[in-house]
Amino acid sequence: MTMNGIVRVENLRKHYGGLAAVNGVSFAIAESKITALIGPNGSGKTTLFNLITSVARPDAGAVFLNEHAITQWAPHRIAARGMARTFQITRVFGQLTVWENMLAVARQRRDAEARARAQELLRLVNLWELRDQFAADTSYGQQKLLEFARVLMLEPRVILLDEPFAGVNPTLAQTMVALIRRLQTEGKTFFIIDHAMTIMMSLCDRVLVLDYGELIADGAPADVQNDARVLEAYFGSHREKPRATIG
Amino acid sequence: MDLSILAQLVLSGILLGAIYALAAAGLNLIFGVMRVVNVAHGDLMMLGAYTTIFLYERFDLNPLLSLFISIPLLFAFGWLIQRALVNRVVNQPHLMSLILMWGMSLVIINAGLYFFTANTRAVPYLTGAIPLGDVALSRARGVAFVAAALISLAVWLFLQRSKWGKAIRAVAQSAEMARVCGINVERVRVVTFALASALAGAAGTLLITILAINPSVGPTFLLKGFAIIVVGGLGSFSGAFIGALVIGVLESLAAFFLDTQLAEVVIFFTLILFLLVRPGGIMGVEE
Amino acid sequence: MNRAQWGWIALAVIVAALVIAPFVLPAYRTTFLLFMFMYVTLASSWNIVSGYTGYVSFGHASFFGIGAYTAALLILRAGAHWLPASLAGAALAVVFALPLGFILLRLRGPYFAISMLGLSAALEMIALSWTPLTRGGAGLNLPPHQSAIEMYFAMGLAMTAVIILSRKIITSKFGLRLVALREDEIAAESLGINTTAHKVAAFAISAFFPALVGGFYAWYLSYIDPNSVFRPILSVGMVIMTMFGGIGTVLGPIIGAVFLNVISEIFWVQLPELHQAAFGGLIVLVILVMPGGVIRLLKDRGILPANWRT
Repeated sequence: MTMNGIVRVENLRKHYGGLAAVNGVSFAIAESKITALIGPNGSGKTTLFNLITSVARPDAGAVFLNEHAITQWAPHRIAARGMARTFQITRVFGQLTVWENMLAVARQRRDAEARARAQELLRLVNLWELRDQFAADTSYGQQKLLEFARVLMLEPRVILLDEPFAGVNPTLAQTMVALIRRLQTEGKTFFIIDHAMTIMMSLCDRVLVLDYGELIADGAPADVQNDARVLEAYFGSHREKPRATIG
Repeated sequence: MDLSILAQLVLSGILLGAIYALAAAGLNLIFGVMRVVNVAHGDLMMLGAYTTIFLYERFDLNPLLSLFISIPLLFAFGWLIQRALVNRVVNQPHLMSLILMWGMSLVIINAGLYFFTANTRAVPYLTGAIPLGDVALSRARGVAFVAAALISLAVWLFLQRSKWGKAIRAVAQSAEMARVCGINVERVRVVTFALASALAGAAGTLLITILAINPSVGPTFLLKGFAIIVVGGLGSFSGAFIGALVIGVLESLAAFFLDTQLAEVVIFFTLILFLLVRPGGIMGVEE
Repeated sequence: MNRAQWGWIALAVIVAALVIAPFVLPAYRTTFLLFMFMYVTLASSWNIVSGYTGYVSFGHASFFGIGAYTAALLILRAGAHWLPASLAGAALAVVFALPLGFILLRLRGPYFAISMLGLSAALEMIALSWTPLTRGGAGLNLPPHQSAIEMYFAMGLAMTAVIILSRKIITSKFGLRLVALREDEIAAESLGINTTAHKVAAFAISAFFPALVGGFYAWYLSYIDPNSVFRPILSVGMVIMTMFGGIGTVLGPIIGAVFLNVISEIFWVQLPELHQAAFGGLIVLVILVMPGGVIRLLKDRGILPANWRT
């Protein structure tokens, strides 16, 4: 199981029109590690997330969760099996309150448990005071935090975060980072897309780099930062390193 | 079973199908550009048909010539509807636009019933048929087919080559990107709806030369247009044409072997069948 | 006494009045109330699928007709009593709605709406053509019923049941998930909610009561034909009543049905064209001006709490 990683993708391919959004990508995510997925805009990162979570169907290739082939599974089944995600453009339930957003996805056996967990998570992301506000009336940053808290309600083993830090103030971003680290020590696996390079490079154990739908680099943050192909993809030059925050 | 009867039915169906294709193309355009299903599309066809009826009964105007009136008339009407009503719900949940268009449909149908009465009407300007071997090519259908094919070709060229056509296709792909490229998305939406309405009007005009209708036929045509799109593939212009031919032939066969009313039922079940079998489905991420 | 207590008192008074009504009012007013109950039931049922899940059904009269014909045929051919016959019709409608919903709801909203439109038209055609079973356009004649009061209470109880059910659903976890999938189906599905199962369940539930009152209707009028039970105005009525009152709420369909029935009665709108045209125009107006219906207006003015479960 550890050899193959808790999540494994094999030769994933997805075309939109004539464009290859994901072009033969294979990798395995190690359990209890924090893996980054970076790449220039349009490189196929969100599409890859969509393929892994069955929100989109691949044209070819397979996805494995704990060595179960999940490629044909409906998304809710994948979530029930322990892999859940957030979205790049927030998808909160607008006409539900912040509190109800949390409860709507709760899977805990007992209501009291669900409520306790929801409260705990909302407090952690500083949204407890806003719990009775309609999610549609909260700010973008608050929605990002709500999505983050909401996905954790599922107590997933593998958490895919799509730009969790975008639009979130630095203090709260640090809270999220601390929470991610803590959850990692509890055994959770993270796969994160984001452009906040400073945070990502220090947080993540391993970095995957996507460009035009292909994996062009895979390694420790320090190595990837100096990789010629990665620099080329981002800047088309060898002079600057991708250390500044881009997003 | 007499093969020539079968051939006759298939031919009739194909001829009729071309006209349905015009209407389906319009539906497709509206959906592609605005993600709105024009529930009143069949009623726009009805208006086109009644324009022709009016001009024929009052002024003895050749239905083909009335195309020059019904097309701009429905274009203008579509423009008006889009500006006044549809535009308000484009960015709202599907729920809203569906119900709005349905309300519009009801108003149009009942206005039609009031002004035109519920009597079935037809425009029998061209009768007779040309024998082609064992099969008879109905003159009216033949002429309508040619007209529909020409109009379809014109629309296709327009979408492929002209500036507006490209703008429409751009917005259908991504409104955001089109806006960034400097395209006036609101304007494109209005033009699209107007164009689609014009096509519906043309379809109505051509249909009335072949069939008899009354003001309530809108929903029936809508269902056919819808079935065509599902069978042919949503968003595909050529798919709509193929789907239209299939539906046209199916209708022709069903009307002969069962009866005209049950033909509607057959088309409905075909729609359901394709919805069952159709790949993809709801988990396709909306672009 | 606070607002909630006043509310309960008002409710008790209304219920008492409605219970006494058939014994003191003239027959035609009882009939009016009976049909109003029917429309409240229809609108509330429609709301369970279209309001709670966001999947708009344009042909919900389909279930009304299925219930009417099933009950009528059971009464005529099997000598059944009208109540079990109607219940059987309702059960059949649910059984029919399950696979139908599964097929139609797998894809997005517009497919569903138009398919339902086609369904009621198709069912009407089938009823017209399948003469050996349904006697086609001639319709079915049922033995005359004895008691209008019995039917009045039957309709009233059906109405009460669906209102209570609506409330139970919207305050439950099931209802919470329905609204979640309405708000964002992809997110709901990705977060573990089996959206297909939820949608289909709501759809099947929404088929029960229209079919039940369809059976009552057949018995009450002692006659049905394809047009009277599948006609579009029924489907249209459900939509406009719910939209006007406030879609997605429990009180909305009630308010809308009561209001529109009273208005129709007062203005004695008999001409079918005018009726439909007026409803069509009202639909357009409501969507453009007050999409949340009367309930939304009341909430915006602070007369009702902003809590959407009202």
